[in-house]
Amino acid sequence: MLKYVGLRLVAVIPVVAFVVVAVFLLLHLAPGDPAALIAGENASPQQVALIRARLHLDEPLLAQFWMWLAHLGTLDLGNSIFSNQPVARLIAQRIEPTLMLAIATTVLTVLFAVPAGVFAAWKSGSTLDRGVMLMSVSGFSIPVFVIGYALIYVFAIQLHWLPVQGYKPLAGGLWPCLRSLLLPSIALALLFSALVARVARATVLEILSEDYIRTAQAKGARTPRVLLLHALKNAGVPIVTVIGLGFASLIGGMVVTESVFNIPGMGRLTVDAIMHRDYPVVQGVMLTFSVVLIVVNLLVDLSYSLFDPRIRYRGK
Amino acid sequence: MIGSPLLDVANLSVTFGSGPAAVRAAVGVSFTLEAGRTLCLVGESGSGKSVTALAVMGLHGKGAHVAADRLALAGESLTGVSPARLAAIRGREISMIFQNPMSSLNPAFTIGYQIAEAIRLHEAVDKAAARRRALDMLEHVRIPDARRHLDSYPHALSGGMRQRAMVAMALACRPKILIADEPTTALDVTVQAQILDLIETLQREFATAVLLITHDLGVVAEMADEVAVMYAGRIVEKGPAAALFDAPAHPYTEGLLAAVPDHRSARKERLSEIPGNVPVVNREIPGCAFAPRCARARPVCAERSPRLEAIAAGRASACLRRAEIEAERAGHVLPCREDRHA
Ligand SMILES: Nc1ncnc2c1ncn2[C@@H]1O[C@H](COP(=O)(O)OP(=O)(O)O)[C@@H](O)[C@H]1O
Ligand SMILES: [Mg+2]
Repeated sequence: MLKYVGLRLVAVIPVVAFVVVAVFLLLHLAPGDPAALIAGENASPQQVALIRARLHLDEPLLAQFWMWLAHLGTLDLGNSIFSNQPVARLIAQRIEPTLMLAIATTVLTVLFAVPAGVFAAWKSGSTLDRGVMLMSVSGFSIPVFVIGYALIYVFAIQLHWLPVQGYKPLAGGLWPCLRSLLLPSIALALLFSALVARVARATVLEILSEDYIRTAQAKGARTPRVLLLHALKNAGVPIVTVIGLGFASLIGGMVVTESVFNIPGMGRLTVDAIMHRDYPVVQGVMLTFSVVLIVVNLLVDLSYSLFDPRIRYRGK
Repeated sequence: MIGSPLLDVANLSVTFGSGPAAVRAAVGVSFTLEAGRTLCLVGESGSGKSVTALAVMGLHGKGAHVAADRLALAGESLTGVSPARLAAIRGREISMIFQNPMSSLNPAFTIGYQIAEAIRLHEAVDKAAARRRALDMLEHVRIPDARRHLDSYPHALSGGMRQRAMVAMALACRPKILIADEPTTALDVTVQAQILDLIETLQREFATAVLLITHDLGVVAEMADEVAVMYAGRIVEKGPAAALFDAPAHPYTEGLLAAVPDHRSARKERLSEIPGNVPVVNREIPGCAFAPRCARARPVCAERSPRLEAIAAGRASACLRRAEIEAERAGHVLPCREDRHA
């Protein structure tokens, strides 16, 4: 088991290295003079020169890379060209709402989509199954912002149950924070659930025809136990995989959701940075998202061993 | 009726689907099993043996339509019983093991957990006690190094060992009946005999009745007290094993016997397979389902459907030409007897 964990951790190293290089090269692989690119079309030559000097763009590429790497080692991601604030601080300010939104969305998705998928598989072919699948298709095809505005209209404007927009930081208490996140995370969870419910249904449906399911029934296990213990534990690997993979696409949805619900998170930071061609911030954001995805994937990998003993033993 | 049999199945039918494409996998199947005895259900692949066993266990899915005049365990009817009651009966009163031990154990749980679960589903014992009993069962089924294998996952065990674990799980609550559906078919020849031996030993020790399903008459000869021969969803002959082996009444049984080397006499002649395949029965066809493959068939066999009729003490056969065939065998012609009424 420890060896399995060790191997997974070691396997992360080249991925991180690749991400670091790719993010660094982002600016340099774009065609043309990066300084001119950042300065924009209407910039004077002096402004371009200033930017070039500030970002050390006139030094050799390798020297720039080492410098960037050295700063990275101290978590220094440079300063924003636009606001002149340290990128690390900008990200630190913005990461909480985004992480909270991601966690809330994932929790909601798991709580809703996994049982829905299991249920649909158990009742496959029934009206309920078709209902779940219809919801799944809708989740895929209705854009997040439509769902988001619809939720705001019904639950905030008409019913006054929940705040219209905005984010309450965790420091002000867990409940207000969760309340402010409820609508956006539902909007996102619908999208995410569409994917997860589908995979859960397909996986469980296949497992239900396995011999060991019949064995469980033959020894007197009742349906809930058969579904939630015998079937679901075997469905764990594919379901957790799709949650991990879906996390990447969740980031895209998060950018939209944050602007619909006016949440000051990473999504907004990203959009603003791209619009201002604020490359250091874009780099910082990309790096952060990459690290989050790597961590999520690592957790997914490690969770496999919980579901499938063969994986644990193979690592021995 | 004086004292109902342990397992009493009367006129059981199982149909898959509906309309003209419906498959009648079991038709009018009737048999009884007495406490501690072994009934072998024998027939070629596709003759409806598994379908019958699954119907007894109530394990058929939505696609199957199961009907029976009587399906009773120790006097309690199993037809229309609540899911809760059925679950309480399965594993405790009647257990089942399957053909493929490689896929019948859950790969995500340890052997010990799966056996202990079978106990805890039916008895109010704590985890530690259930685990001790699981260990005891593993020792009973003679899995070497049982204590270690308690915490093994199925993939760490060979097919034979997994089938032993299945037996341990099935018998953990000392059920009255064990249904074994081709328990050795998927195993190596050397392991087959060991598993059968194990089932026989535990059957004696626990006084369990066994419904053993097999296509192998060698296995039947080894194990059976009673035999029911199935063909195309129907029982075509049944009776005490010895009598049936000595003088098969149905041409199908005869054909099956001809296909195994006779282990009683030292005859080692060429195996003769019955030509052709078991038909899938879609609708009521006139005539005997075996007629197209039967060496003894006459035109009448394609016209009238034979009924399972008593022929001697505890014996029954479904063949229109039984009397004639018997006479042919005996070497002289008897007048056709019609002493049975419907
Ligand atoms: N789930 C099912 N759906 C449709 N037909 C089935 C199903 N299960 C079994 N059958 C059919 O029932 C017949 C008997 O099958 P089975 O009882 O498995 O035979 P065996 O005697 O080899 O155990 C076969 O023709 C088979 O195709
Ligand atoms: Mg079978």
